[in-house]
Amino acid sequence: MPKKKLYLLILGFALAGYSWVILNHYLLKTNKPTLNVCLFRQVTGIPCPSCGTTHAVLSITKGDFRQALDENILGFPAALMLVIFPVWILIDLFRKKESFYRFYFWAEYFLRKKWVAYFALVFLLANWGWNIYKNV
Amino acid sequence: MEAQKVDMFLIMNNKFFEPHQMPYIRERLLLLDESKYMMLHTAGFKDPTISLVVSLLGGHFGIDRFLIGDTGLGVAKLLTCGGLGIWTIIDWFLIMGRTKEVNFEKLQQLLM
Repeated sequence: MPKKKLYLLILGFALAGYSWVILNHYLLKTNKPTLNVCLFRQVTGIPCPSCGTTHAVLSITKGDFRQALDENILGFPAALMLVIFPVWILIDLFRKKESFYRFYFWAEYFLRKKWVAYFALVFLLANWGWNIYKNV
Repeated sequence: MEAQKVDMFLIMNNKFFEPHQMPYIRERLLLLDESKYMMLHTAGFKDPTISLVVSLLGGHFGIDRFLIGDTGLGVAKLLTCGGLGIWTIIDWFLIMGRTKEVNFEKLQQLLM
């Protein structure tokens, strides 16, 4: 994937992510029901591995890490990515460098390693099981 | 490479590539050294139909993106409930084209 396309895509994702978090923050604050957009949950009735991530990110913004852990542990990497990636990309664009581009491909290469992939799979399945048990 | 061998390769593998890429691939293969012929056959291109089936069944978890090697986008899809379900549906239409694109990139790497 070309550098420009990747950067635009991730900045777009970050923008959508922030809009989504702000929308849900507003809905929770005004005691309105939050949107249930998970296709898997609507079809099968059971939560998917990443259900509850939005609530977890919202809890993290309030500093309530314990609550975030209870909602979905995946909220932590999601929140970290939302904070770090856009800033990193903007710095890259400003300084005309490509450190994020190199990091992205290194991360892809790292995740494709067999032991990392198996570890991630086991972790995700365990987290999914926990999600179903908690019925987020 | 002999024209006959190139044409045979194209007939056998045409489903892995976009039709508009075929003339370019043919041209490049004709210039290719004979010794690389076997390597081309063992390249292991991804089948676009399989990725469509995977996208329909496991697209919500980003498995289709993991399958074709877009690991970063797969993680993004997984963490966002399939891009709030919207990306999942968009990918049902895009994944075959992207698979062919990935195959083309792989072939270009082999030809270099």
